[in-house]
Amino acid sequence: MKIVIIGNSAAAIGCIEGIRSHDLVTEITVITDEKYMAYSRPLISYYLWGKAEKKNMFYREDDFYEKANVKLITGQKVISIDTAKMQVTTEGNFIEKYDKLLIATGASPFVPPVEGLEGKDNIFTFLKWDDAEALKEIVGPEKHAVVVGAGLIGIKVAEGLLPHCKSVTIVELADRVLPMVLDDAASKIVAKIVENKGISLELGNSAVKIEGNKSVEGVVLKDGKYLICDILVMAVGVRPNTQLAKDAGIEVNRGILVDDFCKTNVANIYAAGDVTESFDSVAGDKKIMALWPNAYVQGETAGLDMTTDKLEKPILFPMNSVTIFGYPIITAGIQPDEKCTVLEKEDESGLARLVFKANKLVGMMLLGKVDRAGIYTSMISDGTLIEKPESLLEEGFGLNWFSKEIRKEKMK
Amino acid sequence: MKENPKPVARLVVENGCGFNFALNCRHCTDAKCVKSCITGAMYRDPETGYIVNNPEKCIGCWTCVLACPFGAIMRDTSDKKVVAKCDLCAEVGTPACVANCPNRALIMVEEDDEQ
Repeated sequence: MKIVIIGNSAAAIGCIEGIRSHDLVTEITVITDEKYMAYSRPLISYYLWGKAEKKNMFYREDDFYEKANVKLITGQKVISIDTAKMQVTTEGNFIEKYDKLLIATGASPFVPPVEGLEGKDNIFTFLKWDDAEALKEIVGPEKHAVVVGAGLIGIKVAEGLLPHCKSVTIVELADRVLPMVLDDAASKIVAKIVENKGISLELGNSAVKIEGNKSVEGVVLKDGKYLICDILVMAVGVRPNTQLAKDAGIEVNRGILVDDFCKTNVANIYAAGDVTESFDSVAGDKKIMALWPNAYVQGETAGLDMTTDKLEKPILFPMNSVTIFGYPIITAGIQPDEKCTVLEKEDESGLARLVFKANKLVGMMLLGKVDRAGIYTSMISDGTLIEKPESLLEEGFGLNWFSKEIRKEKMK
Repeated sequence: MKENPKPVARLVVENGCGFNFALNCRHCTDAKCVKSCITGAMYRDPETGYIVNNPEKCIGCWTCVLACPFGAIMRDTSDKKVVAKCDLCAEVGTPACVANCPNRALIMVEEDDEQ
């Protein structure tokens, strides 16, 4: 059997490791349009910042592909999938046949139309290693940087730019930072940290016009304010790279639609990672969960399903951990709606918000103090019945919360 | 042998609910911390089978803290922010917690793979 993987990030590595956990013979070929071995995409902001060295960017050891007996083809973009002939073709007219195929093409930055944006240099997006390299080239102590978007990518790129630039301003349409993952109170905490470090925030505002001739020189905001700008980073959001799948007749909504085992509607074709729309076990609906750990698990699931008969379906739901200037933020599960009960605890160590529905923990948001968060994650994942929600926020909460039998079972 | 700054405890002692117990990394077969690690710092040592963290690669994002169902991964924020977890003191031999437990409540037992 021969397996071809398009893409070379978390989902691809998960797929390889899933297969190789029990199968050393199946042929595996990875085709990527990037020139690197798999690297940690979330590290690009640390690389820009100067906190991650080049040698530590790689997700696996140098000899990973060799040891796993994987053929790695870099710098080749797959342009078509022929589902009848079961082969993929690259831009360089290189053809690779497959018995099973994994599409792990990820996502690309979405750049909204803004007057004056077209045709200027000094405009960047921030998703790939090369994006960080390009920014490293242009930063300087006299440069003014403007970042459009205060989501995770926007905040992280601003953090990375700050020590290298004269000023960094984030412009965000919503009235708060990290609007997709945090509520008002939590956003305020993060906004304060970001501002104290020296980043300016323009919330509830947007870039309406980009000024300059060949290069960006300034940004006009909706409220009329003018920002001097030498470096413009567009970090509004990302869109799944679905075109390749669409052209091959694979079912696509916003992302490639996959089942619990990462199968698409076309036989022998799987998809995993940021390109997919998959089932959120907690919310009970399909959505894009473009997060690193989920991508790995999806890739692994696909790899195991390709090569084994029996496989338990993985439980996936959005979960994320990030630090902003060292301040830890963890979120998982769903945002509260009217059917939920919310418990909050705020003190000098931080903010904890737990969301309950029908006697189960379904969501959490922890700021500042995140220790032992994984116990909550496991409760969300297992659907643990909780009679006294407030007991979860008591001092000293831990595995001692569980009955002796369950604790013993867990610790086996 | 004193380290400075003082090293972070690599196990948690839980008390309350009328009993105490020490909890360290379970070195899981299906290690969620390894699968969720965004940098590749957390890995299974191919020789010992223990789950270990490479502090050079670790960036302190705490995704493993989010993933570990036992809450057995600690944050070492004393210097560069990295993960602190039980590595069974593989380099030393006997785990320090076992060697120094005054009541001999902590013991080191190796299980057979089949068990």
